[in-house]
Amino acid sequence: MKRWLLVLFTFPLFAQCVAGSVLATSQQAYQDYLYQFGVYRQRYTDFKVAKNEYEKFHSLASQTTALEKTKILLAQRDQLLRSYLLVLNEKLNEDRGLSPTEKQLYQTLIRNEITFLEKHAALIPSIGSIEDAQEVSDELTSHSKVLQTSIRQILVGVSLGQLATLHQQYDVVLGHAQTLVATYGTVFPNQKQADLNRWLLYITNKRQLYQQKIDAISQASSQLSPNDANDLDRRFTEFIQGAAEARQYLAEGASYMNELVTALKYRQ
Amino acid sequence: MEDQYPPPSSQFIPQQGQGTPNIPPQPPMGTPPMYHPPPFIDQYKVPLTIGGIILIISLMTIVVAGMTKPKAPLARPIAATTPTPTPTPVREFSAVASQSAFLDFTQEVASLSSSIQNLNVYDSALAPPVLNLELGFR
Repeated sequence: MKRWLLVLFTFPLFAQCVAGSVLATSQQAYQDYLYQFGVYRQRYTDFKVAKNEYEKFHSLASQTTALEKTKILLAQRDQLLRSYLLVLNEKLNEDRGLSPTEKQLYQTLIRNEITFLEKHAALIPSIGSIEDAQEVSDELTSHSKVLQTSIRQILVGVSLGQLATLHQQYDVVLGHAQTLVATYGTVFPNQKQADLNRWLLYITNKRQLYQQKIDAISQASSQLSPNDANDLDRRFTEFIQGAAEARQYLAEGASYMNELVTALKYRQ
Repeated sequence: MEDQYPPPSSQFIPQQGQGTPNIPPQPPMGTPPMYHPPPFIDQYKVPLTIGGIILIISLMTIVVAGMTKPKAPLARPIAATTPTPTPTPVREFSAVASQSAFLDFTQEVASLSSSIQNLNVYDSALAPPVLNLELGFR
């Protein structure tokens, strides 16, 4: 009996600890990203100082120092981008709105980019000159367009996942509304029943508008192929605005649900 | 014509050896005396009388009219009246209002509305880091 009581009182505490650790993973990843960003800023400053000294004196000592600082900077750059992608990965893990297929698609993008960064970081120890450092850096620069495009697609996916969670909740509430009207609608006069059905129609229409908007964003994001960085930012801004419009459709549908509540509450 | 002007009295004729009395100059014999116009008031006595009467009557008319003029009513303070609120029509609850399914539905709608309002479609904290990829050694 005492054993069962012990299990009964310790299990909730254990469960809460597990749940708390899961929810805090993205927060921990974000804190690590912020730390790496701070380290990157410091190492970039050190690199700039060493580079300026090398360009001023062109001595062997300054060249050696500049090369060392450059290698440290390149390694930290890869580490920073990797930590950022891990934050996005944890956000996707916590998402409850995306389908498994969609989530797998975005996490594949993350995995591909992390693999590239790890391979790129493996080249750094073999750098023996300033020219070698420049070539290794150019590899990341040439891959930057693909990396930034993937990041924007993942960010759109994170937003769509949050909207999908609300959409699921919206569908559940809509189902309960339809059940209520079907079960208790006959107690109202005919005119009132027509009003109730009209509210249901409005709520359903908003849901359809939301879905159309989400489908358009999802398709456009999957086919994202920008010409340059400005084009990428412009397209990304359009996606976020579309997500805001989709949220507005849900908000309007929820307001119609409030009207339905009022209509059901009173006889007249 | 000589009868119109009586002859001067001898007492006014200065005698030789006597002081000359202070007598006004007499018009020469045979000339008519000078015409002295009457004073202004005597000259316009009648018009002035008529004008004065009219003025007095006008003044009396003005005074009487002022006394009998209806006075403007005093501005009385208007008591502020509180507007009577329109009575809210009492709405009768339906048979659904007491059902547990309806009460649960009400809470679900409130929760959904709150979740939608609190959603931020894009978390700016997730913005990618802006890095300067150029080393600049060339």
